[in-house]
Amino acid sequence: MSKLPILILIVSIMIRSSQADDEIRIMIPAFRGGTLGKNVATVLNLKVWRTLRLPPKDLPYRAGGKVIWGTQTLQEDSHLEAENVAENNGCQMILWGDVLQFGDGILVESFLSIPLYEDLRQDHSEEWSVKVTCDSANVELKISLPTRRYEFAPIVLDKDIVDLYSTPSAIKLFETKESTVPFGVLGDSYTAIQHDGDYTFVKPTGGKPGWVYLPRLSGEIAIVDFAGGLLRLYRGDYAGAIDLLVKVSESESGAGTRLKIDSLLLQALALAKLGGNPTQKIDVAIRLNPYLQVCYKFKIQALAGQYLVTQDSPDNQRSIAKQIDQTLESSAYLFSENDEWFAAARRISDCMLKHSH
Amino acid sequence: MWVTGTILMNRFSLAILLILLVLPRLVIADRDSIEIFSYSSFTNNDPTPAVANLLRQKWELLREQTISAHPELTAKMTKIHIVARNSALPDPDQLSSYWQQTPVLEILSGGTVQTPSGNTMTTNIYLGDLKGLLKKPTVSVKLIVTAEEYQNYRDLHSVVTLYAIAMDTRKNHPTDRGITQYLADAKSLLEDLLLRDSADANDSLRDLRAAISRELFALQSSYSH
Repeated sequence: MSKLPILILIVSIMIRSSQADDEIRIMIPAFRGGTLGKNVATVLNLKVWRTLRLPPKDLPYRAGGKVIWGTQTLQEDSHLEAENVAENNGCQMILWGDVLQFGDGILVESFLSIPLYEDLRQDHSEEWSVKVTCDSANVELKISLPTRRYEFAPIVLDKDIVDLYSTPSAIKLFETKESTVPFGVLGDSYTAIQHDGDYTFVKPTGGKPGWVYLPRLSGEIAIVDFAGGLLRLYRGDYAGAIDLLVKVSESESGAGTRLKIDSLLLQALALAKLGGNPTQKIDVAIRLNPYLQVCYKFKIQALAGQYLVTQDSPDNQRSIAKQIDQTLESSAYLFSENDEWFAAARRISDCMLKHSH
Repeated sequence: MWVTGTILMNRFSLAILLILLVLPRLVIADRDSIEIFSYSSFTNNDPTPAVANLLRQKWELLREQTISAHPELTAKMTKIHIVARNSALPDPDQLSSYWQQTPVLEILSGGTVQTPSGNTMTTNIYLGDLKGLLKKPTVSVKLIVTAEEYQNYRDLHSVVTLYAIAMDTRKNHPTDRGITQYLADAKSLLEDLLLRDSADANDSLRDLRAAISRELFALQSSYSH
């Protein structure tokens, strides 16, 4: 376990709204695997940065976004180590990994760790709470991310990418996007300024700015869009988060069943925050795997939220109260007998049934 | 007479010794090790250390990820560890008794061979009495050693390990609701594995899918009745 924080040399970008009082930070340390690992991480770093967006004026953004690049690899490949490094550097999440040889091919393994610790944020956009008054007592149902540790499908690197990115000077700077002759290399310290298609305009620290070309890596969508979607969710950019997470849940390749399920659940959470009805998204997740406890937690949470917004329609409330009761009954076998969240949900359900009769 | 008495005493002592050795194993509630025996190779290089190292790394990550998704499974998951044996797998007729006498969840063995389509690795995972609804106690899978097959190799071991933990939990703690979550995670991984490998998915994987589905259905039904 690392006790020393990773040396941060580069801040890729920071986008803040005028109302911003928080900042969400994702860290991307160099991937294990020498120069190739470092260059692959640089490419992913800039691609995640491209998912940040300037806040539209009509949306209530609260947090800015920042991608932080570390030049050192983690001391060991573990989520716990990654979480410690993220926390030591004040980051809410960390994308890490390694490049390795298997057979005669080269592949990239990548992981996302989202540590749970007391950071300086005033608001936690990733939490979803429903409060119900039951017999004069307030009962709260609260959920957050389905999980905090992800392993993405490996990316098999084409030989030309391996050849190109195995040298320290692989990421070259060009005067214009159309230039064919580079004037320099990116190096370790830079600020990303603008992106356009597969190109990104960057300013090396103390150097002349220029365009870099970022190659497309097979399977990168799941990694980049999922991390970018989470970053937007944390920033309170719910609509933006859904835009990216939909790409993951509808991806034809690169995203496994569990990642698709969690993408759908996170879309549901974002939709609920926007005041929409998220039950359809959760039903799709349940169809992908009808035995995951977390899907039913989200379903019951969503129904409880819907119950509260249909207070002017007793028929609808009665129908929703019955749905909650049935969902609790049919999923009870997935919960421990002493599960506190389930007990609170049961209490709320009983209360709703009583009041809707 | 004296000689016979000595032999009887020795047999008696041996029986007592065996009981003392075996009984604790029978009383042990949870199995907690994954044992890897030597992998054979068509070259002079022994692939066993590399296999054991890879599986150890993958197990640590699977443990961390499972605990994060299901914190209630932490106690069970943190006890399990990988043991690399520098010896050949016990003879087939000894395997069952070895499994009975050790707190092992699964026993891995295999080998690499050269085929026209590339180097191929066969892995046999013996589950003993934890086979549950599987037709055979051994899951055998053959994979070509290429970067494209790496994920299948990784996920296959995760699926079988989660299944073995679920079966062990069911045996000793039949009302533990965590059983469904081990199986649910195994189900997600296995569906992806079969999807990627749909053209030549082998019988072991199909058998595993059927067993996981039936176990989950049985758990659901047992609660509702």
